[in-house]
Amino acid sequence: MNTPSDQTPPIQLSGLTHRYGSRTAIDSLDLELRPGQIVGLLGENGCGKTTMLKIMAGVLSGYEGTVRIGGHSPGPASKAIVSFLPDASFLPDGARVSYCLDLYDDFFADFDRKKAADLISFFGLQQKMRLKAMSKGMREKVQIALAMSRDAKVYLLDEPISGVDPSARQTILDGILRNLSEDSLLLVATHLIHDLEPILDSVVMMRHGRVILQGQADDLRETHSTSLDQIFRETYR
Amino acid sequence: MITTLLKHEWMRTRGLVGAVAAAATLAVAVGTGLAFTELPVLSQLGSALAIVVLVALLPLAQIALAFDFWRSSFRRTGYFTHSLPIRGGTIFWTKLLWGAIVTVGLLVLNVLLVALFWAAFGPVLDLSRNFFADISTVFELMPASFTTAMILMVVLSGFGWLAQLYFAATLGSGRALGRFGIGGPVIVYVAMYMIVQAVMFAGILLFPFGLEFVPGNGGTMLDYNLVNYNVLNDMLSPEASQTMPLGFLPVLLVVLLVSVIWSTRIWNRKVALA
Repeated sequence: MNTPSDQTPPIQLSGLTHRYGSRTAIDSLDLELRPGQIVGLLGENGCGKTTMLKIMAGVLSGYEGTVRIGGHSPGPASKAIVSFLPDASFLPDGARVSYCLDLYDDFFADFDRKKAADLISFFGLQQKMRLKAMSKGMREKVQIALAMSRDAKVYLLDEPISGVDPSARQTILDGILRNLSEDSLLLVATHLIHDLEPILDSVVMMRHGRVILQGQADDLRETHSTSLDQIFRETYR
Repeated sequence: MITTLLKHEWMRTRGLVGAVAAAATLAVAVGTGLAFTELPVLSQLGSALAIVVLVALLPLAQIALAFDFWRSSFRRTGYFTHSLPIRGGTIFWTKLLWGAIVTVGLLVLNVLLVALFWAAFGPVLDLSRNFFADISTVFELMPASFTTAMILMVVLSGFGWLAQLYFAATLGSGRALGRFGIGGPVIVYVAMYMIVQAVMFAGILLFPFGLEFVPGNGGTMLDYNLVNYNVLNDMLSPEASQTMPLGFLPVLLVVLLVSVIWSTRIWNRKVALA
């Protein structure tokens, strides 16, 4: 039996295919991502970004191909090293922020409560607040504070700044980067490239369930002599 | 980890369980109070209210628990549940265990509420106002083995129904039916109900034994014998049968096992959140 080593790439996908009925959401996708970088997973709505993140997070089965997260198939071992932020409000509406901290503290061995408390405070929130009394942006901040306060090897963030007003986006991005470890892999699915461009080390662009462009952000900017945002617009025109 | 899971099951469901228990207690207390007045319409309405609540308490509570199970497992908050670094089957069994614990707690409350109502209703049946004294008398008149079997069957059927509801929520939230929302679990439950009814009838045909009740001797009011039982003869006979068929029991046990094993397998390997 192979045991994952420190050199094992955090994400290895090979021949990944997933269908919803007759529609193919992910089509024979191969992808390998190394640690220590922030990767933008870019593409139009319905291109397969969310499906791919769900599969890697271990909340969506029924795919074909091979998925390895830190050398593990999706399951308890991979979930122990993956911090997943879905594009949904996944915490109980009636809960206080302090209870959400308890939840993470109780279930994730790599959760750092001090970091979470720091981030909650950084976002201008209070632990006694209830989620149902918060705006969508405030709830998103709570969820980001929790997800980013784990000392995970892989962070999977699905549209973390969509639905948030432009003024709050930078605060959220600052919060995401505040405690990020240098050797972690952060994979962010988004279509708001303009806002994320400054923090991205590399990008993966998807269309119709396939990777159509992948590379280091600087290399792509140099090759195309323009911004990632412009490359994205031209690619999907 | 199971203790931690149980703790958070308690914290998530305590409001729901507390509300169900408080509403039932209030309704039975009001019904009992009205029954005590012995005013023609009012006391009958009070009795009816109390009886309906006492009969419906456990089934409604289990449906509420199943709805919470579905929401916390396969809706928005399911993303958190299935992101935990814990084997899915362990989470499923812990949720089922918690549901069983709550059911037992509400069963105890149900018995206490029956005792409360009995203070007003017992004399209507020419019995005492003391439910526990009356039920003890009944138990003393029955063979101990029969009483034990009846209590076990009540507990087993309560757990079995909960397992069936959780199974319907699980299978109905899979890849094929998950897109229908709450419709998925409802479709599975209705289909399962019809299949179970047909299989139970087949079980009674294939396992042709029953309990025949006869007047007791040796101090008991009733006694029973294990006899051959032919359901078809019974259906064609003009006289009402005094025999309780047993063939449905192994079927219920098999349904329970299939429900929990299939659910565990889905939780371990087949979760597909929409």
